[in-house]
Amino acid sequence: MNASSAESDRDPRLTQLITLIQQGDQQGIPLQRNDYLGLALLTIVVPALLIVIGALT
Amino acid sequence: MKDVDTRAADTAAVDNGWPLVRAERTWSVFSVFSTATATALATWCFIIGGFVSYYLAARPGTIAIIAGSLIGILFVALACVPVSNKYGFDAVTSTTPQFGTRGKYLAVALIYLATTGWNIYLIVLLGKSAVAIADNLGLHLASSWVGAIGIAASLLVVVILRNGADSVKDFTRLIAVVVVVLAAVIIVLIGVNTGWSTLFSLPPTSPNADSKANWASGLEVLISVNLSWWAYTGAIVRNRRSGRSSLWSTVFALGLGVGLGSLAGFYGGLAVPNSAGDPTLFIVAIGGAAFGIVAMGFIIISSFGTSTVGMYSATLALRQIPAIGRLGWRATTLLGARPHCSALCRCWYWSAPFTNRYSTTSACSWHSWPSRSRRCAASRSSTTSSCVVSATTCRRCTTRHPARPTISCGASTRWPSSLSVQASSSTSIYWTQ
Repeated sequence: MNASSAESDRDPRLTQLITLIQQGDQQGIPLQRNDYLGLALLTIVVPALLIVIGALT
Repeated sequence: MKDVDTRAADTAAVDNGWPLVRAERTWSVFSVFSTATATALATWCFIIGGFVSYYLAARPGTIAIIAGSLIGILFVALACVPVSNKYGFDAVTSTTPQFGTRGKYLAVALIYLATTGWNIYLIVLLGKSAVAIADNLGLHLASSWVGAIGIAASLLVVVILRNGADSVKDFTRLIAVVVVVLAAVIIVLIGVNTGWSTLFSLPPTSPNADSKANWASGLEVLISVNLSWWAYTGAIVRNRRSGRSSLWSTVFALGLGVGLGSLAGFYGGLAVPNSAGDPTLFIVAIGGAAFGIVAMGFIIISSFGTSTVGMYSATLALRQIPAIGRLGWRATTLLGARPHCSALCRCWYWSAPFTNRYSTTSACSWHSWPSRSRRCAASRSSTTSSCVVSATTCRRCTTRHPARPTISCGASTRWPSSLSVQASSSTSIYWTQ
């Protein structure tokens, strides 16, 4: 009941956008596996190495 | 007619934090990168770096700052980039699946309070820098001008934001290049004036006995600072089509950018121990009046850039509240600026105690005093400074703290090797705390 009343109160332009954004070609270009690997390398492996270097020196 | 409707829908989507379809995302890689850079490189870099200078010397501190900033940005990148890039909405809407449609107002409150708090902090520093520049030019302004300049700056940010996301993109594009160059110049100047070998041999200002605790403190502050980008990141990356360019702009500009920028405050905090990284206290002492004016200009420009993005994020978050969303964009930005003006009016009223403390600690924070006293008592290697300790009554906290000691120091860059501190008996109670 509440959900349907909230949907009926919603701005029709927003409703249209919500429908549109479900389509893959309207969404942003997603990250690939290599992006996640690069992120892990730069934000996990590199800091770990830096901490080891800092602890040793 | 259809074009007018489409344009109105586009504007509503951008201004209300609604999903942005691919065709509506007009920001280039440079726009995202420059906005993120202008957000990251702000006066807080000096204060963050100054905090690390309490605990770590130059070599381990540099490593800890870079490592901490990279670790911290991992969580924000994972929380914001994939979802905001895919659907084109900001951080508030991205919390709806977890918190529900009412629970997302918690995210609204978090973003609004975080960005507003940081903005007030930056604008107070902006006002202090403007007063310092005026002082260097021979115009001796009272400290109450800090609040007045801050209010004017807040209203100027509202004017800059009048066209929403496009204003942010255009304005930060100009600022990003300037702040990067000036930050690099400040780091080089500190190194050259202090001497790189001297700088890297200076001890930390107030280290713990446990070296692991010092390391942890240096890392943690950068990790926690980078977590605060959650409030900004969604609002920036939703305007870009490509997830990849949004990701690397976030990691390099927001994450690593704040780390590299913090090196200026870190080296400044080591070179001028009583400054705690506060540039208004060390830049003129290091580089002379001319460079001081340029560097204070950096503070003013960078504070404007970050405040603009912060207020944009806060306005987007506020517009998720239905009653506020029905207002126009410009009315909402004014609503967002209201706490700034209220706080700065207080700053104006309680000018000296508020602004003098705000630069290096929270406003009138009594509990920050013991660390300041430790720094004052620390031995240093030069002989050109004078230190005067006196006890005064805090005008804001009279009932809680009957005698608050204050320190005023000469414009020098070193503490004498055998610094003796004379204080009244009431003050010495707090020295020993």
